Parts: sequence; C-alpha cells; structure tokens
Amino acid sequence: MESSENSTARYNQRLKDLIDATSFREPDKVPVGIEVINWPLAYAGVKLMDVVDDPIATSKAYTKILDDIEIDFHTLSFGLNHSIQTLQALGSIQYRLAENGVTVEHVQAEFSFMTADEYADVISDYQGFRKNTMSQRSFKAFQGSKAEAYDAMKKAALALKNHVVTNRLISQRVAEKGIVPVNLMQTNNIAPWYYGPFNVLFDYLRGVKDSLVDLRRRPEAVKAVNQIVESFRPLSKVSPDDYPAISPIPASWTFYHSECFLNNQQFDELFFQGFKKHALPYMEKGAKYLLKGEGMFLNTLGRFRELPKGSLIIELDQDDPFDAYKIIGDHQTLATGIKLDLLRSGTKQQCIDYVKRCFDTFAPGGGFIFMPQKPLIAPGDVNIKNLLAVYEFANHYGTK
Amino acid sequence: MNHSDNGGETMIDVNEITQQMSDLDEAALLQSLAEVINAGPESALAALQACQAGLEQVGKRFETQEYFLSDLIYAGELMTDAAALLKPALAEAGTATLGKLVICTVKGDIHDIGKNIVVTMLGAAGFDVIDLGVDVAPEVIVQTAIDNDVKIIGLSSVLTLAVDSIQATVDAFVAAGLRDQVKIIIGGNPVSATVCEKTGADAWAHNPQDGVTICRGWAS
Amino acid sequence: MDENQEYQFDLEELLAELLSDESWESDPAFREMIANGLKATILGAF
Repeated sequence: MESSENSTARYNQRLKDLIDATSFREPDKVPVGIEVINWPLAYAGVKLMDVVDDPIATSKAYTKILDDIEIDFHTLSFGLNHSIQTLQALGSIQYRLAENGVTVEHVQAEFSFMTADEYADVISDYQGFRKNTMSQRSFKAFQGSKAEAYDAMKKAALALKNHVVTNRLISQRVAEKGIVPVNLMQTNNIAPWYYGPFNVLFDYLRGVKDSLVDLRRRPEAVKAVNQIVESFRPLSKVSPDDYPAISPIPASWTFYHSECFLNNQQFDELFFQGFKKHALPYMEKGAKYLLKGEGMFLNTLGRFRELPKGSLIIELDQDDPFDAYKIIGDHQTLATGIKLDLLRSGTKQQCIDYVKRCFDTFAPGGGFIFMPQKPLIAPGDVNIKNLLAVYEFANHYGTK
Repeated sequence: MNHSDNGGETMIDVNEITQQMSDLDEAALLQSLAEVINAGPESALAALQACQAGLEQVGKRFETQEYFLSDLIYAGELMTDAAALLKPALAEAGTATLGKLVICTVKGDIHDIGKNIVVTMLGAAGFDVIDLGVDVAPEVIVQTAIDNDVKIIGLSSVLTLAVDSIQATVDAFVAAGLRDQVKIIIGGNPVSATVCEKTGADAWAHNPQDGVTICRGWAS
Repeated sequence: MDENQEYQFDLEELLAELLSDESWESDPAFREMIANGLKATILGAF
C-alpha cells in the first residue's frame, strides 16, 4: 500500500499538472486518465452478481485495473454507477443487468413516458407528477399496496447501503493511489453544476423522440415545463467571490443529453444561454467546468469561445478530435486521445501511432489531457493488450 | 410549372408541398395534404413524391448544419403522418419502390433512435423497409433476407461491443452462401472505416443522409 | 383508513417513514444520507 505521504505528493503533482494543462500551460506530464463505469469488474474477470453482496470483494475486483495501468485522473465517478440490487428491489422497469453480467443497462423501450395530454398535469403539479405519477410508472413495487411499497423501499435502502460502502472503499483506493477526480457530482465547494432544463423532458418525462418533436409541435408547453424545472434549480452555496480561494479542480460540470440532438438555435436557447448565465461568473473567477459530451457535437464547439480561455475541459465522444481541435483546441481543453474502436480492433502499433499523433498535435502549449474518447462500460469494449500498451506509451511520452 | 398536371384530377402545388416539408411546417403541410386526399390517386402520388423531395431537402439542410438531429426526427414524424394520411388515396395509384431492405439494431444492442431516423428516411426515399427492431440475432436477419428476397441489409449499433454482432451477422451471410448476393451497410456510434473493413461490411455511415444515399446507389 | 379506499402513492410519505425507521439503520445521519440517495435513484439525479 502506498504511504499517505506518497499519495499526497502524487496527488499534488497530478493536480498541478491538470491545472497547468487545462490552463494552457505545458505541464510536467500530460495528465493521463480514464472514465469507466462497471467495466473494471470485467477487467478483473468477475461478474457483478458474483461479488455485489461483499463490498470488500467488489472493491478489490473493481480496483485491480489501478494496479496495472497508471492513471493521473478520472472523470465522472470511479465506482459502480447504479445499485443493481436497489433497482431490483424496487422492480425497476428501466434498468436491468445486461446479459454480459457486468453492465447495468438503461432500457427505455417498455417505459410509459408521459403523453402529450399530460402536459397540463405536469404544469399544474410538477413535483407531484414526477414524484408520484412517474415513480409508479418506473417501479413495479409502487404499483401495489402501501405495505408492499414500503417493504420494497426498505430492501432497496439496505442494498443502497451496501452500494455506498462499496463505492467508499473504491474511492479510498483511488485516494491511496493519489488519483485526482477531475469533477465531482455534487459538492458544496465548487461552482454550480449545470443540467439543461429541457433534459427533464428528454430524459425523464417524454423520452428522446417525443420531447424533440414537442419542441416544434408544442413549443409553449415545453417552454412552460422548462421554466418550472428552472425554478427548482438549487442555489449554489458558493458565491463567485469565494472562488479564488478554491482549487479549480475538481471542476464543476455539465453534460450533453438532448444538446447533441439540437440545431444551433435550439442549442442556444435550451442550453448555452442558461449555462453561460450560471457558469460564467464562476469561470471569470477561475472555475473550470468539465463538459461531458455525447454523440457528435462539433457544431456546438465554436460557442465556447464566448467563455474564458481554459474554463472548459471538453470530453469528446464520436467526433474526430483533430476536427474539434481546429475549432476550439487553442481555447478550451480537449480530453481525448484514442478511440475505442481502435483500441478494440486495431493493432498495437496503430493504437500507439494514433496516440502519438494526438500528443504531438494537442499537447504543445497545453490544453490537452489524455483519455479514451468513450467510457469503458462492458466486457470486450477494448483489447486489453492494446489498452495496456497505450497507457504505458501515454504515460511515458507525455512526461518532460 | 407549379401545378401537377394530373389528366383530369384537381391540380396540386407540388412545389409548395415540397417547401412545406423542407421547412418542417406541419400545419401548412397537413392542410395541403388534406386538400389532396380528395383529389384522386395520381394527385396523392404526386403529393407523396413532393414530400419525399422535401425530405431530401431536409437532408441537405442537415448537411449544411442548418438542421440537426432534432429536425431529422421531426421530419420523420411529418413523413410518417403524411404517408398515413395519403395511404387510402394512394392505394389506387400503385407506387413503385426501390426494392426491399432489412434494417435492425444488432444482437446485444437495444438502442433504436438512430435506426428509426434512418428507417423513416429510407421509407421516404422509396424503399420497402423491413424493420426487425432491436437486439436481433444474425440468423433472424439472414432468414428474413431469404424469405423476402432482400438485397440490402442495414445494421445499426451504438455499443462498442455490438461490433462483434456486426461481424457475426456478416459471417452468417457468408455461411449461408449469400454474402455476394447482398450489400451490407453498417451505422451507429462504433462504426468506422476500420470497423467496416474488419467486419467485411460493404459500407458504413454515421450520417443518416449518407446511409440513404449509399442504399439508393445500390438499388439503382 | 378505509380498506376499500384506494391507496394514493406518495413518495415523500414513504421516505419520511423510512427516515424515522431505525430497524434498517441505527445511525440517523447515515439513514438520512441513504434515504436521499434512494430518492435520487427513484427520481433520477436531476
């Protein structure tokens, strides 16, 4: 086990490198990171249900990858995302364990989203509709008697305790390794995170297709719901004036859900203006935000020139990073470096050549942190030999 | 010339219908189509073709980034509604198609948004689309192709691991002795030139419009 | 409550009961933390 002095020293150096790199100063070492969901279990050769009852066994399996590759940072959380046993106790209709035994899948096909006729109900009692109507549609345990519902809640709570303990053990191991979380989900000491209000319709209430169709077919109803959602946005506990005293990393965050489907005008109205309004006062004081992108969104990147240089760390997804770099690479940090399909299907040399090209193009002058361009979520997502080779190369090549 | 000459049927303004579809003006489009329904089968066919032309323009406006995915999805809805509205009147006209096409999301993958956009655009382009849904096994795809004499296969995926299923599907056509009788196009997040080459597919696309163009080229 | 009266599901009511029920967790702070986490699981994080 690492000594705590070592862990602290490594953490501090990595934090410095991250702040330098994302502030467009060349770091001593280009930060090398990863984003994972349940994939580390597959790496360790276990399935979720083999270990889930035992937090120690789960965390030991989950963190095996940290013994085999060196990482300076992770994005999102490093740990199990959904508590499968909590979801099973509640009779979740939307989430299930995939056939691979590792991934928790989000299945929307059988879910009863709200209908167009229900906009009036949502607008008149938003909280009640979400808490009660939609909860009953989401979980079978809430469709029977009160006793059945409460019994399920207790079982779910016990399972969640287990899940929390597991993730705490995983976080402990991450801290022992001196690894820096680039962003944190919700915390009191960073700038406010931003979730575009339209995403409530997109993610929870109407679903992908119908919410997007509603933008044109029912614009006033969509606007009304967006305003209600916005009215419930929690106030930040940190004033922008407090910001200079706080490290800019871990960063606050935002992400694209509906945003990568929107045209330019919709993107501006439904995301960018709101994001700018909330984040800019903090960015002007030095706050950084992680933008987790999904899908293809080159069309949105130019807008981020309106934000201070170095205020965003952009996690690319499907887009070509060399195209993204041309648009925004001199102004905001790109978190990229290797595509999963190459890691999976390419040769070792093809992978290394690609990573080298990323470093050579993006690293000079700062503004680049290395990570695969998608989270690792399922067994077989990558060829392990390629992964190990790439991380060995990236850690070495990016060091001054 | 704005109006279609339908040899006796009431004349309709096809350019206007095309523009309404292109502009995603649902109210105007539905009104125009409501007037067409009673005009006769040839008018209905002209209106459908005008909608298809409008959808092509939507595709072009997508390529210039004036429109984005939300607009393609909405256009798909309009096209589906238009086709449903015109269907009774079209029955007498008879419509030629570009042929049959099988499309699905491959085994192990349950995502369908992108696939559904492409299904609508292929249907609008004139294909007779057999949509097998999601999580479809290779043998089901092969058998459907055999049963329906299908020459074009579209495989959609979002998950990286679905590439294995794409490979398995291509291999299934090889094993069935049908590989050189079909064209296979792959689409979705994990596909690329590398994946296309490795799996042995004939083409790949991220952009739905590109996928439709490729399939059209094969059909002709 | 009248047995014939249909039960109206109320999430906050169930969560309040969970919060005051020591049988599943004796530490009130941890109970509150888990109850909040359960609410987020049920409603979604946002």
